[in-house]
Amino acid sequence: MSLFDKFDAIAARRQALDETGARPFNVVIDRVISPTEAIVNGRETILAGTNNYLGLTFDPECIAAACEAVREQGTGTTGSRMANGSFASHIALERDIAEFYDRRSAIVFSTGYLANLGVLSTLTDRDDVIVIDGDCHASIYDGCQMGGAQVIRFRHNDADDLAKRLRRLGDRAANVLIVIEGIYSMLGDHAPMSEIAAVKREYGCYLLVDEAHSLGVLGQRGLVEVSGEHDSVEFITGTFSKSLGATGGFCVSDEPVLDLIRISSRPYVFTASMSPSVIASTRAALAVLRRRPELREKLWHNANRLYDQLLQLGFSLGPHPSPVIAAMLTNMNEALAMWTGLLERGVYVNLVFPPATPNASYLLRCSVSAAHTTAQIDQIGAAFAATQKDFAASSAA
Amino acid sequence: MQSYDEILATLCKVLQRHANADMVVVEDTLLASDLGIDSAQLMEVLLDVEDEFDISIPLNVLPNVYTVKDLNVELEKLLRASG
Repeated sequence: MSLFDKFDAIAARRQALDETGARPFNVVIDRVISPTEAIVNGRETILAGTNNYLGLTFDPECIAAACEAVREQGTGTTGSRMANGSFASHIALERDIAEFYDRRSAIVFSTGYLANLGVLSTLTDRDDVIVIDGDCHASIYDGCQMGGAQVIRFRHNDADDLAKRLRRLGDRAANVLIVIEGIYSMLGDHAPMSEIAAVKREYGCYLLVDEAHSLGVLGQRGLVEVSGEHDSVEFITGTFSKSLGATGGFCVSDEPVLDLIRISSRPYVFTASMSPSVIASTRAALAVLRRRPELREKLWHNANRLYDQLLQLGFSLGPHPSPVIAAMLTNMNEALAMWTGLLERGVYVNLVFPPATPNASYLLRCSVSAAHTTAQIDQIGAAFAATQKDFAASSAA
Repeated sequence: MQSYDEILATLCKVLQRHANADMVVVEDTLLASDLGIDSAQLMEVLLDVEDEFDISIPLNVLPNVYTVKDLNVELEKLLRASG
């Protein structure tokens, strides 16, 4: 058996996909025009699958801050903070994030993925138990696996199922780390925070909330803020790559142990740190987020508008409106035809296949931005309607 | 404490609910390919198995679980440990 035999199945699957003519995982954005538009396949295309929730990737303040930083501090840090030292701007960003979340301290990581990997793999070891929502992101699963803790899933967004699993653990429940997300990335639904916090308090566990998709979307800071559960949550992780339009990740906490995680976390210690321009644009974006609540209002206006339009068209969507709006399909050919049709009509959305999706569904996943105009939102809705009509006609033929 | 065979009988009954009508789940059945489900669907099936036995199956044991027999062996260990 060859080293490469294990790729046979995935190669066959890719070939089958290529033969349909759709190339959903090889989209090349030839030129970016704005936070919401690009040239794709030579065509002006509305970007509706970028997680650019506040549309800050082209914000003049963020761009100016990044340019100034790159001129003053260079293009990169060329190593990890443990080996090469921290730039003053790393420390300043950590201070900004800790203050923003009203927490004792913060650690920043090079990506959001690394934040979950770094915190979960260091906070727990083989003697610990982590109980995670079944729909948690891969970075959470990977972080749990890397630490070696016993990992138990509970049914998505089901606080009673969480309680059942904690009951089964008996005395061990008090030391459990529960992990949930503010907004789940596939369907855009959010955790029932108050119910989960109540279970957490009943059993005396610890709670980590990943606010990757909810920072700047639910209130300023995410689900923990809008649910009023600040004191029920020991750790918050997140990313700078979505609403803040950069890259990088973070963890904030009031627990003094966070300072020790920093020096024990392999994904922190053995990775090149955030580059100066990225730090600068992140800090600028955070300031914009705090100063301009109207961006969030526009985001939700757009989200509600598109959600209503897709609902009117009869698509099966997540349980409530959200800037992540996923049309759930049961048939791969329909998903491919719809995704291709949307792109041909100048609308780019994400196509997500099982097993990365809930309920083995095929998702046409849109992410809405505050930078989308109302006209663009309506164009996205109209493209869904026309593509749906085309597919129905071709199926009937 | 249930015997291996008693656990197996219950396990097969639960898994049968997720199998095609024309297949019979037995000890050698491959959990994913024979049941015709992907890894994410298998996780959903395991939630039902957990409820049936009122235990939680840690994800850590799953990399070595391919067949119904493999799962039964793990269930027997977990049930023994839970008393």
